[in-house]
Amino acid sequence: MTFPALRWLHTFLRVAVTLCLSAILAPPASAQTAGRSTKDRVYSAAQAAEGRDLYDGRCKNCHTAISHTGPPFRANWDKRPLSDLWDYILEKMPKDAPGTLEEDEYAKVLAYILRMNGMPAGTEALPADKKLLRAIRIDAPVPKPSQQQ
Amino acid sequence: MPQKSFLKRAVGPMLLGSTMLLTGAFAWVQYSRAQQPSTLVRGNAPGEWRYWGADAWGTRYSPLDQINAANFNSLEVAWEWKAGSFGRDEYYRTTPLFANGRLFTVATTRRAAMAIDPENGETLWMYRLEEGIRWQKAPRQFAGRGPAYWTDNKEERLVVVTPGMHLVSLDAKTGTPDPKFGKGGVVDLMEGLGYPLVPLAVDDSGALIISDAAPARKAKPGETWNAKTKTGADGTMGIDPIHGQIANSSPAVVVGDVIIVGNSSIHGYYPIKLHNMPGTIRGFDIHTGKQLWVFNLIPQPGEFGADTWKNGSKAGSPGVGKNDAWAPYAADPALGLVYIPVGMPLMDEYGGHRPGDNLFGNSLVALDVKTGKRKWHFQMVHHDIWDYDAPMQPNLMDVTVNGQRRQVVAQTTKQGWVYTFDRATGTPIWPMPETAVLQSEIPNEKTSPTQPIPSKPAPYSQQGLLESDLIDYTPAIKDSALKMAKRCRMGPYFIPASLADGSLPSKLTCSWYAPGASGGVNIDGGAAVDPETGMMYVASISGMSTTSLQKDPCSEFDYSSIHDSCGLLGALPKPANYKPLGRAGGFEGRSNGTTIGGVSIVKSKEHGGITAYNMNTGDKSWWIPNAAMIPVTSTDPLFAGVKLPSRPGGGQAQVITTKTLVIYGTGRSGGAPASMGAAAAAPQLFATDKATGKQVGAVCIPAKTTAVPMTFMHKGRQYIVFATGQGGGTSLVALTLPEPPK
Repeated sequence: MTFPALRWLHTFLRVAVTLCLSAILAPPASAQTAGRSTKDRVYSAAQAAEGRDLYDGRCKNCHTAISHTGPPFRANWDKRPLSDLWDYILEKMPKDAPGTLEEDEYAKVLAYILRMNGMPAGTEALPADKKLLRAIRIDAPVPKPSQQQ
Repeated sequence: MPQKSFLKRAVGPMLLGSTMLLTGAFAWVQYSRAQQPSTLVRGNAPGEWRYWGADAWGTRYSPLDQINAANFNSLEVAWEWKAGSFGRDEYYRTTPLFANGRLFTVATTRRAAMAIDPENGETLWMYRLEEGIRWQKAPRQFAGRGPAYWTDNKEERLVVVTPGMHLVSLDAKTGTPDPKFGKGGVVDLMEGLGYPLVPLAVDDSGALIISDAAPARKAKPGETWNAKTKTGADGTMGIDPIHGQIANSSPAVVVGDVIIVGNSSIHGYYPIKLHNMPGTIRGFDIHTGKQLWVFNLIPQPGEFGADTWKNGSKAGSPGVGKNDAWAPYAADPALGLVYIPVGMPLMDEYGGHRPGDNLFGNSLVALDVKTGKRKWHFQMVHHDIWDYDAPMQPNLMDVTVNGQRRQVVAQTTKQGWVYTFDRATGTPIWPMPETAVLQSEIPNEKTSPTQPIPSKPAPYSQQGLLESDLIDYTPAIKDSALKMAKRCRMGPYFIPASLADGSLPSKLTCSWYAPGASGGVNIDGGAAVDPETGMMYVASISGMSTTSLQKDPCSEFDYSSIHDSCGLLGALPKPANYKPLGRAGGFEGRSNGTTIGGVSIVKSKEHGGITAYNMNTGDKSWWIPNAAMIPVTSTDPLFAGVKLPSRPGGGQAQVITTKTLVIYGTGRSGGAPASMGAAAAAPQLFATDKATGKQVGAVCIPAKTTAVPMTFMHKGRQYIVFATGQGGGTSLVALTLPEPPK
């Protein structure tokens, strides 16, 4: 075998072994955490921009962003399915008029909450669909030092 | 008699004619500059809207009738002024003013001031004050309810209270700051309260957090600004934030030559620090900006009412703070009195740190405009633990009660009653007996044994929860509702909170809470009154929620609404053995629900919406829901075969009244849902016959109203103008009839 070919084979085998090992050693995915993560570009930038306006108008007079970012967000929502957060805001929010947004508006606000937490935007809007949202796991970012004491 | 020559005969009439011409020209010039004082009614020129509530009395009434039931549905958009072009906002809660041919507003989180041409929506001028850290950390960083206007028929001023607590007086014609007022047109409202001003600094680039976390602080000696991280000291001076924060949400009110200004505070539900700045009311001279007087809304040692603070009332002491009068004020220029609706003391749901009635919290206070001395007061809630701030401008009326002409002031509230007083003396018009109420079981909480309860008019919102309030369409439904109801503490009204850990003698972990912190009447709703008929139209909401308290591990308070401040800048350090509390907001699974299968356990009543009272008798006259009645269905088998009654649409309606109409917008939370079809759900402005409440008109508008509308006449055409939108999409929308009527 030529030297470059040997190099290639070596790399291939190394990668293959690594992948196999990862598969063997990774914790089994539970029904809740299987599927996508909020880090997987699950909302669109346009949707989050509209969500920002809704947030400013319907949420901000009770909350500032801190309620939904950093340590509080992590403590309450990390590793839960996105449908849990969906259920919560659909039933309980806005606090002064719970359940009064339309479902697509709740999806926009949810998209903005993800954006506030630094999740990346993609091309597809977040669906206003509890079943689909159940398949997305919330991976809350580790708070920056300036957000902690 | 011999005939005079033509010339001689003509001279007299010619002289008379010329004089008349000149006089007429002079009068026209005077009129076009300002209305004569003798034509002012309740401080307003008829057909104008010179105050937040139309006039000094806060009637929200206009005598105009060009827009009426016959033509309301032909209203069209005359222009839309895009406030969003000037910057972002929360929701746009400003009611603009119209005076002497100009429309005035504020807009954006900077609360910039603008004059607008009412005919075409063009911006005439703009003013904006750069406030540095004082804007960045302003507790109420939004446009707010609007500006104030003053004239002496020679000069005109627009008065703005900025988010960073500056009082600005602008020439209303040009937007230029009045050089004779304060320093270059600006008075620093952080001065004159007895606190020194210090250089301010910040450790983060964000806004104040909704508790009192991440505040600004006193700058360290020699500290400078880091433009990259946007932290440090930027040269701004202010009151040391160690004392707390003051803010502003509402316009000042100008009565005679006195500007009356109060303050708001940060939200009260998750405070971290056991003290905050007390609220005050101050009077300033419109010409010079000189501070004329201060009235302490927390009476200081030696002042009347200080003994209602059993742990002491001195500013800075533990437990002392707020009593901020954050809503707009009303005034009677003839009596020389201003009526102040006061918010609540520190910490919305628990008061163990402030035993006593806590004057002047939750009171209506009448002050002498010239001296600031208290003429009378009435405390509507003693030792508040329900977040029942007086949330709205009171309404002044002259009515005939029991055959006697009475001058009244009526205060709408979160707790669901209108409190009506003789506005000269403070005597209740209808009795408000001190009534025994439920007591708190929470350690160290000493609730007031009684609360005053108005005997008239009847309440406009659900209060408390009793078995008789529950849905009972079948025995099984009643059973399920009762089971859910008994999980939390029940009662007729003023139900004290329970502890979430179940440690109270009752073992209950929650208490029913209605009206909640959003009312009743709150920020965006409130009443219009008709000075001709004595009718009062109260827009409110009605709802049901629960409240539970717990110790916030990183705040100084014994208890608060379930919240965990740990990790926030400015919060206490985490205690040993700290474990995160879990999901924020008190959402303990479904155990504190208020619905079964999506259906409220509370029977639907004629609550919320718009309630019309005849204030000559105190009787309810009519009631309508906000926008629509909403059909209720459920897939829960409990309701199988049961025809569920519709429920009234929610949201605070935003109501004004004219010669023949009650005109209202649904507000940002109101309006029929999309499930009722596109036509019903489209944003609309409604008109009802003011005598009967029957709907006489509904026009589609570009977006829901987000503030109380206003109306005025300009160049022979009546306009209705209202704010809409939120975030980057805020606007003022002007409606008018298609053509000037012949």
